[in-house]
Amino acid sequence: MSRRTSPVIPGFGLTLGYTITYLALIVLIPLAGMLIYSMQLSAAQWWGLITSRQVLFSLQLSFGAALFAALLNGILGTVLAWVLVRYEFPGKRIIDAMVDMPFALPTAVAGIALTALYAPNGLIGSLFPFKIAYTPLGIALALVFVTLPFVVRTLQPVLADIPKEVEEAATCLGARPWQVFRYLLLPTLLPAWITGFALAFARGVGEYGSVVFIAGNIPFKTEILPLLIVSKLDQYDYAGATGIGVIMLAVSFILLLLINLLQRRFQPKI
Amino acid sequence: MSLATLKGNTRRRGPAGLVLIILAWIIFGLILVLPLYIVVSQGLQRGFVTFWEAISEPDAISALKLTLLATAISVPLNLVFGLAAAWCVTKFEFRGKSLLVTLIDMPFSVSPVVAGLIYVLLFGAQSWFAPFLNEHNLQIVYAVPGIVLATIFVTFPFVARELIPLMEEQGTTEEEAARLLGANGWQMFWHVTLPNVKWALVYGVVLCTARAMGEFGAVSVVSGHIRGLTNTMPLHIEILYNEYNIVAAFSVAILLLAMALVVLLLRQWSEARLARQLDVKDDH
Amino acid sequence: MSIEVQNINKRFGQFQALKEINLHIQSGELVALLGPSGCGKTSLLRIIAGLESPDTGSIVFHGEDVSTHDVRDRNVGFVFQHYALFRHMTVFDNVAFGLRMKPRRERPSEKVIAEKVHELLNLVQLDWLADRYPEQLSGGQRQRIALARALAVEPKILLLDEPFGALDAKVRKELRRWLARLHDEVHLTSVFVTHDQEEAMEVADRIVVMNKGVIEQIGTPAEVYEQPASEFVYHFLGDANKFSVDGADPVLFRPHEVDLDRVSTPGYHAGEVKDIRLLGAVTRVTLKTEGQDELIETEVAKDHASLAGLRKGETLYFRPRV
Repeated sequence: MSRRTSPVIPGFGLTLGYTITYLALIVLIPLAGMLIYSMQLSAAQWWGLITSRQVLFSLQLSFGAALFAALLNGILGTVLAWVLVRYEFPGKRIIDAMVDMPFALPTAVAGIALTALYAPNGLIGSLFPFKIAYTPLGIALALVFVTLPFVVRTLQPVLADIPKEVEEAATCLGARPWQVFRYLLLPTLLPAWITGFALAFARGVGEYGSVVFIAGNIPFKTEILPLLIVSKLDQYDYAGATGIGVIMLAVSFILLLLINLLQRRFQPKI
Repeated sequence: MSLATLKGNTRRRGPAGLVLIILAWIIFGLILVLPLYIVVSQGLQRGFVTFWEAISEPDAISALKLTLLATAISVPLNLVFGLAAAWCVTKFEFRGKSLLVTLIDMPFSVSPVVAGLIYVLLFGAQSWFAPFLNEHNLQIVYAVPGIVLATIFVTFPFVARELIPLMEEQGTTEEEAARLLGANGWQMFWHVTLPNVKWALVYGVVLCTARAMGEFGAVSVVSGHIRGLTNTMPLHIEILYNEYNIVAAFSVAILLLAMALVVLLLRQWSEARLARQLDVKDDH
Repeated sequence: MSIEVQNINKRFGQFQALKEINLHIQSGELVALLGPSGCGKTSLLRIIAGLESPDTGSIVFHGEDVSTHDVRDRNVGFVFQHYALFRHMTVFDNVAFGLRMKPRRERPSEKVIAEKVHELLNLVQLDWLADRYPEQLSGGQRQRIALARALAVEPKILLLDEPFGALDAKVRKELRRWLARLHDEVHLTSVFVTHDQEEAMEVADRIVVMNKGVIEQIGTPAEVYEQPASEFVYHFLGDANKFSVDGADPVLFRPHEVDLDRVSTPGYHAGEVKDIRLLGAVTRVTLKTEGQDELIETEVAKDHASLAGLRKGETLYFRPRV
């Protein structure tokens, strides 16, 4: 590796060496281990796994619920970010601070709280004539809670960085409010919005702790992908667990790549 | 991130603004506050004595101890790693740098269950290391080392992620000035670099600690759920809940909720300081 | 302490930042490295300081080759363009930093350090700011604190990177006179980088004019101004007119190097008055001549006879004094 920086700053070899070693030991080697293990699966095993009804159903459920949550948060998160940046109002600081609650609250706590809330006899669950907890809807709502901060926190700095003058200039040039939004704000916000959406979606697909309680784990009804891995492991089906693990890893890797690509294309804002 | 709101960029609001603000309050109340209310009300529904019994029984105490142990090991390790990674990534130019940054971020995008799974595959009964581990009577998975490893994995990038953007922005001239004034590498780091990233570091450690104490999925896979031995606080909650001991489960949850609130407070505090630091930079 | 720069070459990737630089700076001299941005002047300064290592060549301080010395052992004072004050330390602690970093046996006691710091703060006339933080200072104050900090370790050489670049015009003028006076008092061998020719002319004993990684000319302000070694130097050191008669080789002359007359005189050329500007002691008259698109700018004393009652559109006769 070549190095081109001020020669007076020490520690390049030491810190790079340490970083790579630690990264390899904790992350890369274990991940590579799983990939190598998955190569022992025969084509027939792979085929059987991917086409098994249980896996197909879980894939559908996990992706569907994560997509629903990410989309809903795309709207709710935009509202929150907009309000928090653009207006002064009572309670602004507390809302701003609490937006991060889903990140700070352990997922198991969120899981049991949401279950109690949406259970048929719960505070919200009892208000509806249909079941929410132990259905895909419950899973999606749990994911809405867990992934709420993503869109808010990616949009907020971008919104705040748009100078007042830009909108004022546009208004002076005769743009109507919707034109200002369509031609100025939307193009600026879109990359950040997509990034937030993708982060929320990725987290939603992999989420376990907050979902496991509200899901109820009924095969072909509320069994999400991570749960399927756990139940395969409980049955000592390491091959099956690995196969699903690799699929999930591939999905998250593709999403990560996508986000990076987006951030490189537009200015890096987060 | 919420620095944004601290900088003055607010506008006069019309009627649409009022509607949006009310909507924000509703989202806030329904999505963010209600679950917290449920935790507290369920945990305290039989009174304080029941709450106290639930959190002071031996299994709860041992779960707390294990959680603190895993946190106490993983946070310092990831702190040192974060400093080293941020240093080499922000102070030097080298090929493959952006790949390295992407790899550092990777644990965030891996499902916690997969994080647990990789260690089970590496050290479990069916793994290549199994004969070696058995021979030396070592147990990693379904034991404390596995829990620690899984915790390190899921909290891996927190400190590095907080430091990298800040150190990138601060550049290296203050360090160069220190060297020219006769400071050696260590003095430069200790007297100039570290104080400059202090608040970002605090914040990174806070996030890292919160996640380490609260991690569920990854730890659940490698734990084996042995009561009193390999149960962390979140796993203990799960067991209580599955035994229909709802009040006890929520009682323990109150402890973790309190931790989360402390985290948010510390976040506000360290970020306000960070914002001040950045504002100062702005008018240079 | 003298500085000898020998055969310095420096490349950044494909870009050749410095080509075969040779330069001798005498002890006690105040030298300006002058050139447009990207000419390599800052790289040269950083190489002298030891903040950058050259690909070839060496740096010699007072007969001793310091090329392989660590920055700490070169004993240079360096003032960064944006000062690089330690933002979390008070002004006092900033200035004291270099003294406190000394190895234990060389380190003065805190009492001696305090005396020394106050002495330096008095020198830069800012002793009353000792307890402030850099964020609470104005640009000019930061600049002087950065200088005091650099002087604290008693360097043998002082290097300044665009020392006035970030200041507004008025503070800039004050500070550069102040720096010239300070140099007379302390008499350190000093090198500063600038892109402003006025600054270089006003402050420096000698000017090193650089362009595209090479030295174009070295000389006193008068030499580089009066006897420019190249067209680049001529243009860079002041406004210049290019004027050619009947396809002959063009002549170069500065706006004030001109005679003006209201009536046609042999050896004078006609020009139509496009603009008249009073600039204080001088007045600038812009002329358009036949057969040349480029306008001619002339400057004469504001009470010059040819200016009386002059209006735009009239014809004025001029002769370059070359």
